[in-house]
Amino acid sequence: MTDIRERALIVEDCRTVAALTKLFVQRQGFEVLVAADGLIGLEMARRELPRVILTDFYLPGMDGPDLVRALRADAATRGIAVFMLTSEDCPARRGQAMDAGVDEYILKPWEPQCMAALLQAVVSRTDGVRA
Amino acid sequence: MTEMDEILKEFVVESRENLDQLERDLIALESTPSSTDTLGSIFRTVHSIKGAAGLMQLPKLEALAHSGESVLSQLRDGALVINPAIAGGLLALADGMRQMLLHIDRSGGEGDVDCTAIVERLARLQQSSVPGPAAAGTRPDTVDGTRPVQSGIRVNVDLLDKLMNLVGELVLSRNEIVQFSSLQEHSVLLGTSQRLSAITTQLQEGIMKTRMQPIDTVWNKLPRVVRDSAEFCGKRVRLEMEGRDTELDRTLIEAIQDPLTHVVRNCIDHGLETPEQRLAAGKPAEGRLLLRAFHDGGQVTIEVSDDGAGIDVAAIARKAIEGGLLTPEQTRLMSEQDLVNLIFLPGLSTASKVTSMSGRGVGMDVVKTNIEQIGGRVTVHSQAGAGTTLRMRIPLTLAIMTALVVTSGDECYAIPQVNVLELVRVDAGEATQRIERIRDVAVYRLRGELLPLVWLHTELGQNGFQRLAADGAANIVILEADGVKFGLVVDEVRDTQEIVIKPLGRHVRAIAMFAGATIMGDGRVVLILDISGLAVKTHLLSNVRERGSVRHDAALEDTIARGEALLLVAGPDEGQMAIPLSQITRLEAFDRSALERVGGREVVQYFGDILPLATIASLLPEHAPRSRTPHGEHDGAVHVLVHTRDDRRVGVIVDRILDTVEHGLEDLRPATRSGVRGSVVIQGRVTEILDLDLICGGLDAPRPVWGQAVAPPELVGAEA
Amino acid sequence: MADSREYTSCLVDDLLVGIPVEAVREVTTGAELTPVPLASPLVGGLLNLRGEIVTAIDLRRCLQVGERPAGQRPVHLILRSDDGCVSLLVDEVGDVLDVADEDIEPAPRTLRGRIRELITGVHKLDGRLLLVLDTDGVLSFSSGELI
Repeated sequence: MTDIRERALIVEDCRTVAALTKLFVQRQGFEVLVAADGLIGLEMARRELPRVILTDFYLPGMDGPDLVRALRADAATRGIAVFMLTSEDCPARRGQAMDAGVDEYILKPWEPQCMAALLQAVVSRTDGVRA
Repeated sequence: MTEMDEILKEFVVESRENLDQLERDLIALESTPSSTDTLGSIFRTVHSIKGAAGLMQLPKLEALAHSGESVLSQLRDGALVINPAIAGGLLALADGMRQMLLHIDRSGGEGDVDCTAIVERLARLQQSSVPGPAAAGTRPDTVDGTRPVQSGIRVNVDLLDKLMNLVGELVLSRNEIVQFSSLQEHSVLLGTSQRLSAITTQLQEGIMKTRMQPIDTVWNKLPRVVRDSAEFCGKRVRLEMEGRDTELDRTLIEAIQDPLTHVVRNCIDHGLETPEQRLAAGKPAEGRLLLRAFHDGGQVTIEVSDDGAGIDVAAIARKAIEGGLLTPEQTRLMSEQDLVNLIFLPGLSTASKVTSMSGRGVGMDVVKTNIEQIGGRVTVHSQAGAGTTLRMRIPLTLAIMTALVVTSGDECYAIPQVNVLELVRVDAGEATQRIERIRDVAVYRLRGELLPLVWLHTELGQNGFQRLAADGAANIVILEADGVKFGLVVDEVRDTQEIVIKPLGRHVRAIAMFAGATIMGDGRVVLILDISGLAVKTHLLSNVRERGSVRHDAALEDTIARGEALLLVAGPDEGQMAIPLSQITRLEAFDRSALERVGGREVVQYFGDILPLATIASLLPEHAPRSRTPHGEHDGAVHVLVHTRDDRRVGVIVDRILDTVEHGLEDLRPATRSGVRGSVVIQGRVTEILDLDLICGGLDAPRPVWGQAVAPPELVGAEA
Repeated sequence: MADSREYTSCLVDDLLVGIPVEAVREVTTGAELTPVPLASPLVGGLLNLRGEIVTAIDLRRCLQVGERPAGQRPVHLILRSDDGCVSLLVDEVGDVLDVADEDIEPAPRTLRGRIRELITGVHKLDGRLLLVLDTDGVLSFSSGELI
């Protein structure tokens, strides 16, 4: 049991989805931050250096794939685990996301157990650096 | 699971906002079909709702959104091009979603709302794909962040209301303290309470600002209303809006939403003609609906104008007569503006396709009441063939304002500072000189400008006639409302105060004289005068307004020259006579049996009073009539013109009422008998213009002796 | 077990009137009334109830029992109403009475006119008749009088 809670960043412009996701991730033991816009999300990531980022595909300001590319391009944020959440299961989209460099591509609505396990896996990574 | 309940509530709110955006975008897309930004925005909106619905476990809503998404992606890919059928289908989708959200909001679940019809409709639209030119080189997944990022925070509106109430109470308490401390000689107390006062004022201004919203909040729903109504009525309409960022208090925004929607629908249904009719009239086929909003002297003015056919006054008058609301005679006595104003009478709203479409029986009377409830006024102006304009004026802030406190009798009344131009005190002795009379109307000359005067105590129905203050002086408050300037004579002028406006309850709310009430520092309730209401109520002002305001002597004469409203009646010698309408208080018809004889005179009981009666013949001394025809009788009723002079009423019996006309009186031939102003030719006949003031003049002696000033008249019924 | 309700009793001239307790917010005396010119004669005036402006309806005038004697101050029965607060002006307020529903009878034929229109029933109370007031009726009736 860690004293310091790990931080998670949710980048999602739909308030309802953000609220629900936040609730879930909080229950997994994270301290959760929310950004409603891709650009703000990038800012917050650089400032807060969360353990994991959950981002939507479509976003105002800067869309999901662009956000991920920006994170990977910056040494400080390169190692943060990124989950892309999307409601569309389309090979083209999946391909885009993977190319951008996401760790996981998750369909909404996600399977609670599966998501919990994924989040747990991130925390237990000792090095925190993506291979 | 209250967290989930909150999230559900947020979801409903957010989705509704999304749907508003969706509708705006769809209508915009119809006029600019190639806009990828707009299409992208629409797609994202539906996608959002779908995603959230999925997470919230609302499968029907999700399915609805999904079917919309399919159509939208075809639009995006160029497989479909937007057309009215598709737009209609997507708008129906939005409606369906709203319905579902309503259900969800009320019951927490989807229940058994059935949306299969909409889903099928959208599926059919999908099949109808006519491959259009592929959307030029766009990456289907382009996401342009067109949704604006707002700087600000979200605050619960209930909290704002609470803050507003607290500030209101603070202002009341502040007033009490200031009043108390001003009576003390304590300098520290005085200083502190003044600081308290300043801080309160600033706090109040700040809070009120938080409640201000641009009128666009209401207006942005109207393009959809216009589109649907126009389609339903088979009209073509162009909507223009000016002053979208005019700000109003939040509660006002809510209150005008429905009335405004109804008025817009009304304009499209009744005001605007069909394209064919318009072309035949030489107008462009597309009608124009203009919405304007602007601030003006502490009030917000919202106008809705159309360039349609104007209000059909004949039809309204007919409807009023048919409905038993007015008699034909009454409609004849009414001015054009009075007839136009009939649309505000309950029971007069004409059934329309549009109201049945909206499913609600809202009439213009409800619109008027709604606006009046928030302290506003509604007026309508119409020009046959050119169009109609509806104007709503609403006080800018509902809650707190500066007021001038005056007295009438034992009570204080508050006048909104925004209406006050200046204060004039005419000393005793000067009063009779400075207050002039022009044709029955008391006026005051203010630096060359002639202003009509009204007495507050008279308007309040209190006793006395144009009374002056105890010391013989006249205290006049120069006021302006709706562009009309006039002077209000009061007993005393007290001070100016910042007051909290409290609404009046339903029992007294409808009284046009009062805009609300407030509580003074000493705890007493004081009524706030509605200066617009006062201006309208004072009949002469509405007359004046129709002919232009009373400014200088020349203009006044010009007014008279332009024509006066006259009642044409059959005179005693079988001639024709005319009486200025301004001298007639009311037109009554009594049954012959209602007339009684008292002391040799004929009288009738009238509103708890005794009204002395006389025929015209008996009041004109010379050339006494020889005819013996039964006087004043036509269809069994006795027609009486009620004339008021100095608080006393007299009734003049007329044989027959012929007509009402407007005629210039500048070229009168000199009178041949007293009581007559002169004669002029009206409708081809020589007509004497009677002056009721002169011939009834002998009736205002303290104990009226009949016909004192003239030769013994022929008394009614006493035939030689 | 019979259904019964509690009523606040009050005197309007010599009429004993009952009002369901749930409808009464409070009772107060001594409040200053500001007259409202041009209003219906049924409106007694406006009063300040801790910052809230309350319209007072004169029950004597509603029930047409003649004017209150000069110098006698009325008692205010502040009612709950969905449109803000309204006060009913009465002469005196009495005890709260418990009356079984079945003991309430329709108004006898001897009661005519306005009084009959404004009550929902009567209850015989050793020698006196308690008139159960239709408060909603009184409120809408008195506001309808305004033209």
